[in-house]
Amino acid sequence: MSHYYKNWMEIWFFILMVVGIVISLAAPSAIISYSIIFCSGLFAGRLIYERKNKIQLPYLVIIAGFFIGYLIGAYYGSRLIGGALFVIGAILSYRAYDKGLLKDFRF
Amino acid sequence: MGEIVDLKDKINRYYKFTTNETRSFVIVVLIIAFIISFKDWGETSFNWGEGIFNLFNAILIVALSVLVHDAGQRIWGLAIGYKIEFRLWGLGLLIAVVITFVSNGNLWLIVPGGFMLHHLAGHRLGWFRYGVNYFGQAMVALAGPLFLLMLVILLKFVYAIFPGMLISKAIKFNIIYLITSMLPIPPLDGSKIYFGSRMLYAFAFPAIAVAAIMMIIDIPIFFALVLSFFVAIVLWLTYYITFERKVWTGPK
Repeated sequence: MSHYYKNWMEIWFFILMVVGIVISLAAPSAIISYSIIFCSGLFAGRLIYERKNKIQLPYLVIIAGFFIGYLIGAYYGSRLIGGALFVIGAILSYRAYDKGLLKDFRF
Repeated sequence: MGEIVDLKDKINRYYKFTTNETRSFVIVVLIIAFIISFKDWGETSFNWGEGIFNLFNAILIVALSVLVHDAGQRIWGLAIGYKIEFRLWGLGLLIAVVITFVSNGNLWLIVPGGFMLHHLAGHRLGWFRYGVNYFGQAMVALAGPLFLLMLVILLKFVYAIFPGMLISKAIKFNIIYLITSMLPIPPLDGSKIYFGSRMLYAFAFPAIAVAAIMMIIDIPIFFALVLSFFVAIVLWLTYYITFERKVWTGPK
């Protein structure tokens, strides 16, 4: 267990990379692939906003793991457009949370 | 009789959607309708006309189901002195959309959101356990899936008289909605029931899940309800004997 606490960032980097590869391989067309990477960008933006005033680096590395995995597995469409959509999604989501357009309710 | 008049008065006064709730409902209905109509945009190639028609049908189905589910919780909440406020679960909807894309529309995750309780101080006067409490919240949460189950039964009757694709899809959607809403994931109804009373959850989840599965495989409705009730009692007792009896230490 102590091994996990020492290396959780690397472990999750790897897991998310594999998840990214699997998800991108499951996408049946370029449009779907772009939609998924855009939604993933929205997730990433939310996570970065959530960690705004806290330790961010491990989370950025884990997000990068997913992003790299996704681009490795992307079969349809351009990787450049996929990357751009991910960044746009992340920025949009971060700004939406920052401006209060999106809110997380703690139920 | 007095209680019915009182409930009617409470419904007249408090059964209103705020602007935020209306906006949330519209977003929820559009996103879930998109999810359930994802595969219906043409047989072999993309077809706008067919897609829009199916999306419109999906909007009708989802709007009806979400409103019935919410109505159950609102009415039951008002009956026991709570005002219910619907809140959409943005993250859950986003996850549902990603799952739809990944599974090419074969897997539906219906997670519209949850609710918040507002204590109606005057209307709770005289109630045992006056304030907001977990058990009361669990009872309100359970009303949503029960109303959905009643809607499924009604749709089955309608389907027997007027069979059609729209009603068949509505039945399928409601059954999936019923089961996903009972999952113990916050903020879904199942989580509220689970944290309100494990014993209630141990009974309600199998009862609703078994009833829902039997509705899919076309067993007569009365038989499905009775059988699901007995299955739920057996599982409830099993859970009590194997787990709850040993861990329950009484109120603290």
